[in-house]
Amino acid sequence: MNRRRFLTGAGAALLSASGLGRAIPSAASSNGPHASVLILGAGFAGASLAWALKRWAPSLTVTMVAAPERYWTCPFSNAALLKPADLSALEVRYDAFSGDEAPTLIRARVKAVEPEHRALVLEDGRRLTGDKLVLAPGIELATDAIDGYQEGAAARFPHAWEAGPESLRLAERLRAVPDRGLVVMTIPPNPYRCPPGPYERASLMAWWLQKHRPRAKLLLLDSKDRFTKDALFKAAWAARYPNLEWQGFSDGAGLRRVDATTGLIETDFDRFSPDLANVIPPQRAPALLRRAGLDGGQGWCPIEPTGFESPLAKDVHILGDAAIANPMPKSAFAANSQGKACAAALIADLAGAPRPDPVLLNTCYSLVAPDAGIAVVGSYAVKDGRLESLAAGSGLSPSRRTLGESVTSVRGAEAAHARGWYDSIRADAFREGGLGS
Amino acid sequence: MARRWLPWLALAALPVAAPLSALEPPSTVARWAAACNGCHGAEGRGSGAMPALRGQSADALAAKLEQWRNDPDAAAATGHVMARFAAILEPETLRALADHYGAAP
Repeated sequence: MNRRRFLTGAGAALLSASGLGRAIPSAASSNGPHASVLILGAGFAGASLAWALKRWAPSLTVTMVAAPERYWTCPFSNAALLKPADLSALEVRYDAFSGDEAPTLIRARVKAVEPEHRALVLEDGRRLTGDKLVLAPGIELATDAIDGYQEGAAARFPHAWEAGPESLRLAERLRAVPDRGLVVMTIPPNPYRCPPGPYERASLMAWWLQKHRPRAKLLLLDSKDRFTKDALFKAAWAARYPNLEWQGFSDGAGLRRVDATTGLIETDFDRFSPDLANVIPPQRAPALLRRAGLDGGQGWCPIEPTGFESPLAKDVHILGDAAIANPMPKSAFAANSQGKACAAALIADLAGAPRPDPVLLNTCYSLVAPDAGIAVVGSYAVKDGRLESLAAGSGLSPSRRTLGESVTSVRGAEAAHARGWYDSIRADAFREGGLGS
Repeated sequence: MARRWLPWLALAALPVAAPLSALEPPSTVARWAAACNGCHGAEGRGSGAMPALRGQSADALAAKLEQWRNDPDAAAATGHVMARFAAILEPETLRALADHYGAAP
């Protein structure tokens, strides 16, 4: 019996509520004080953290809790709109999470977070604790923030902002749009998961419509005036997609109300009855964290940047999309980078050593067409207790004007890099494909 | 009911875990390499168009990073990503990273 099965079977990560006071015997036991890390979430942040801990401190007990539902990565889920058959390749199966070298993964629903005890209370009654508790649960869609978006509206207005069956629904609905049809996408205010995601999706939808519904139109209704890589996206749209129109907040495009019965989309200035509306809701940290007071009433959770520890709860660390880590974006790469930086800080904390300066990087690739990519790069450092962008370590793909005739080959190379990046970060974060040590 | 047992829970968590004395924070180069692997894959093995770092010669890697760091033209085309990261590497970290991947089989 391997350790993962033992722990799951025994109904305990560290201890079951009914096993009161009885510890699980472990080969790792020895004299002196010991340490354990408990992690909520097995996405890019949680998984990257867990493997970094096992890499750098193999004897540490690392236990992860993730929901039992299947999980598909958000990165590359926009590309799956064009080729829905590819969605299955986006599923993470966690095959590497077994055996003594691996973090222990428990698939269970969490009922409550108790920051003061560094504890997770599971729906099945188990209660887990660690010397350090790390929360990396991702986002919650704030559908209640949209007037008229009642229960069932997701079927009418598929958001597909969490990848999986919703992505397939959106792909199907796109294929049902008639020629001369109207597709509307509403884009939420900052901050939200994957800042360039709506614009990549818009590019790929426009590409598909141009090819298959040449007289259809895609209208983007944005709740803001500026967005990441906007000059690059807009230049690509101007060159490629006469069927795409973008309207920003100043154009009156802020979303005011939707009607799930009639399919009506109402903005500050206009009303639309599109054939398909992809309404991307505003977002916030999941209720589990907000109910525990970890957002300080802000909707997202503050952290201090050397170890991503909550200023509101000692030894509780928050990573990835749920954290306020700006200027880092809520991206898979940022989550991966934060996971590793947090691992180094946790080991230092547990060893009683000073935390090292975090190495925090980001690269977000976006496809503006299936064979054309652009990228934004960021590097970050802690200054006066805050995260700051390093100007020398940040930038964008060169503009079309700079590239001239080489634009096609350079954008093509970055699209290939985007695919290579995706396979790489999956191998790194989830130890897939037999890679890693 | 469960609250009664809280002191026990905290104590009980201890015996399963690693001895603190065995813990040592990762080195600067280990932390940088971990960040590089976010694009270059687990242990720098690369994937598709994203090149493997592991197993390249240390001198070739160092030369490439130096080129990105020092030559603005290298920042054109797809070199812009690496030019930004090379720009913020301390020279000794740059060399240590090249040695780290160069020494890996």
